Amino acid sequence: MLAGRQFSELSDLLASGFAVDRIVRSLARIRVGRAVSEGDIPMLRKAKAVLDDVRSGERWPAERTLNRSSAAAAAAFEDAALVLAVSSGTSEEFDTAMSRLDAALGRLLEGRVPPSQQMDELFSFFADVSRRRFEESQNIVMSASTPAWPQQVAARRQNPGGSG
Amino acid sequence: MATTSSGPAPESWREWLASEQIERSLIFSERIRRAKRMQYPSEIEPELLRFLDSANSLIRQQLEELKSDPGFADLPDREAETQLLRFSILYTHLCFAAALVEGASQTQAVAELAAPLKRTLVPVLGTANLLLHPLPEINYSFLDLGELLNSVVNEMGLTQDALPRDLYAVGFPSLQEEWSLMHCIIGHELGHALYKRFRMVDKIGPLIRIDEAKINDLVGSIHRDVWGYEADAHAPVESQAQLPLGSVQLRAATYKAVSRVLEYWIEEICSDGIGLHLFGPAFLLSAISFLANTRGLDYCSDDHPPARMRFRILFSLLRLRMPVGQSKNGPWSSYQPVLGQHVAAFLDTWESLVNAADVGFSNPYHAIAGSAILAVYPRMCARLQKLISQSLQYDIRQHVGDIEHLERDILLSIPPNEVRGGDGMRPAALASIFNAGWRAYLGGVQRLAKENGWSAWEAKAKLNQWVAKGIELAEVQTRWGEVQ
Repeated sequence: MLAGRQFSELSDLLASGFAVDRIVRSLARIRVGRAVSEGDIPMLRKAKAVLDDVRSGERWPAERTLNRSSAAAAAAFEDAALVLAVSSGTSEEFDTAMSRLDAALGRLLEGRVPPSQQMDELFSFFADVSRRRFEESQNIVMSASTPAWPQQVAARRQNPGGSG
Repeated sequence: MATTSSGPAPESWREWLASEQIERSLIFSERIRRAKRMQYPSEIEPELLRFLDSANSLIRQQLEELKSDPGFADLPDREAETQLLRFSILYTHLCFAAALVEGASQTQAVAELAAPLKRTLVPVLGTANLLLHPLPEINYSFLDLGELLNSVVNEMGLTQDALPRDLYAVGFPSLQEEWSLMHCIIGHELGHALYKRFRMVDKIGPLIRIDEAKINDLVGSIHRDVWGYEADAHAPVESQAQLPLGSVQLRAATYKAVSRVLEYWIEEICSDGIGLHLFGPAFLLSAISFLANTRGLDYCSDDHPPARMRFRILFSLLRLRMPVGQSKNGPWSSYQPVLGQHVAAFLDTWESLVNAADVGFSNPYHAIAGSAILAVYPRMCARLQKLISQSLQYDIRQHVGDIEHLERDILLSIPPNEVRGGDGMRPAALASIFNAGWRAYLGGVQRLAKENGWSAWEAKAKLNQWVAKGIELAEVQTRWGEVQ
C-alpha cells in the first residue's frame, strides 16, 4: 500500500521523469546529427528550467526562507550534484560543470549545435537525471505494495443485494 | 539489457519490451471495464474510472508511436530501457488510483460522512469532490488526486479531458471505521486541501528564517567527524574509494532533506490549524485520541512533526482569542463555553502532559527544521488564524447552544441531528454534532453505561453509532430542505 506522501512523491517523480524523457529524446535526435527542429524547442526550454531549478536549489539556504518551489529546487540541486559527482566534488568544480551545461543548452536554444563533447555532456546529464528519477520511483514502489481489494468486496459491488 | 537464448533477439528487445507494456495496458483496460460495472456512492468514482480508461488508451497509443520515434531509436540501450521501464511504474501508479475507486466508500458508517464533509468544503472552495477509502493501517491520509493525476498525464504530453482539480482522496482506518468521533481528524485532511488551494506555503513560509550557518555547520561536521576531511576540499586520495561523494553532494543532500522536512511539517501544522477551525475542540480531542494512541508524543518522521510539537501549536491556537475563563494552565480562550467542564479538564490534563517535556527531534535535519518553526510559531499561529478566519465563515463558538442541545439528546439516547432555530427545528451542523459527541463521550459515558446496564465499551460504541446516525439524519434533513 502506498502511503499518501509516497503516492504524491511517485506522481511528482513520474511527471518529472516523463518530462525529462522527452528532453532526452530530443537531445538524442540532435546528438546523432539531426537538425534542431521546432518541436525540440519546448523540450529545450524545459531543459533550461531544470538547470535553473538546480541553481535556485543551490542558493536556497542563502535566501533564508521557504516557498512553494524551495523543496523541488533543492531536490533538483541534489539530482544534479549526484549526477555530476564523478566530475565535481567541490563547489567550484560543480559550478564549472553547470556552466558548461548552461552554455551548451544556450547554443541549442539559438538553433546552433554545440561541439560534440559538450553535446555528449548535456545528453549524459539529462539521461542520468532521467535514470535517477526512475530509480527513485522504483525505490518508492519497492517499499510499498499496491492494495489488492478482497474478492468479496468486488462481488458485493457487482451484486449489492446478494450475500456477497 | 541482457538477452537469453529463449528471449528476444538483441536488435528487437526494445520492440518486445514496448509490446509487453502495451499488453499491460490491455490488461489494465480489462480491469477498468470490470470496475465500471460496480456500483458507487457518487458520480466522482465513475468519472475517475473514465479518466483512467481514456489515459490508458492514450498511453497505449504513445507506446505504439514510441516504436517508430527516431528520437527513441537514437537512444543508447540504457536510456531506452529506462524510458520503457518507467511505464511499469506508471501502471503501479494507475493501479493504485483504480484501487482507491474500487475500495471507496464501501461501508455505511463512513459513506455517510462524505456528503457533510463535502458540504464543509464547498463554501470555501466553490466545488469539491471527496473520495473516501479504507486503509489497512491505523492511519488517515490525504491525496490531491485530481492535481496529481493531471500533472502526470500533462507531462507525458497526452491530451485528454482533465480530472476535476478539486478531487481529493481521503483514507481512513478500516479497523475503526465505525468510531465516528475519531473521524473529526478528517478536518486535518481537509486542511491539506485548503492549504494547497490557498497556497498557504507562500504566506506562512516567509515567516520561517532558515539558519544557513547551522546547515553549513552540519555539513562541515559530517565532513570532519564522519568523513575525516574539511568541507569543499578533495577527499584524501586514500579515502576516495570509500567516499565517492564530495562536499557538493553532501551539501545538496542536506539542503534537500531540510527543505523537504520544512515543507512537509509546515503543511501538517497548518492543516492541523484548519482542522481546529473547521471542527473546534472536537478536532483536538480526536487528534489526541488518534496520535497519542498510535505514534506517541515524540515520534517524528520526515513528513510528520512530533505530536508534542503539533499539540503545543494547537493549544496555542485554542488559547489565542480573548480569555473568558480560567484554567490551571492559564486562561482558556473564547472556546471555553464550547468546551464544557469535562472537555476543559481533559484538555488541561493533556496540555500539562504535552508541556512536561521539551519537544525533541530525532535527527539533525528534523532539529534544524523544527527549531526554525518553533522560533516563529506564535507569529505563525497568528497569521494562520487570520488566513483561516478570512476563508472559513463557520465558527463553532457561535453555536454553543446547539452543542449543549445535541449533547442532551445523545445522553437521552437520541441521535443528535437537529437543533431548535427560527420557527422550528433545523438540521445540526457537522461540527456541532462532533463537539456534542465529544462532550458526551468525555462526560457521560459512565452515566449511559449505568442507566442501560452496559459496559463502558458498549456505551462508547453506542455513542459513536448515535453520532453517525445523527450525521446521516442531519444530511437527509438538509437535502430535504434544499428540494422544498
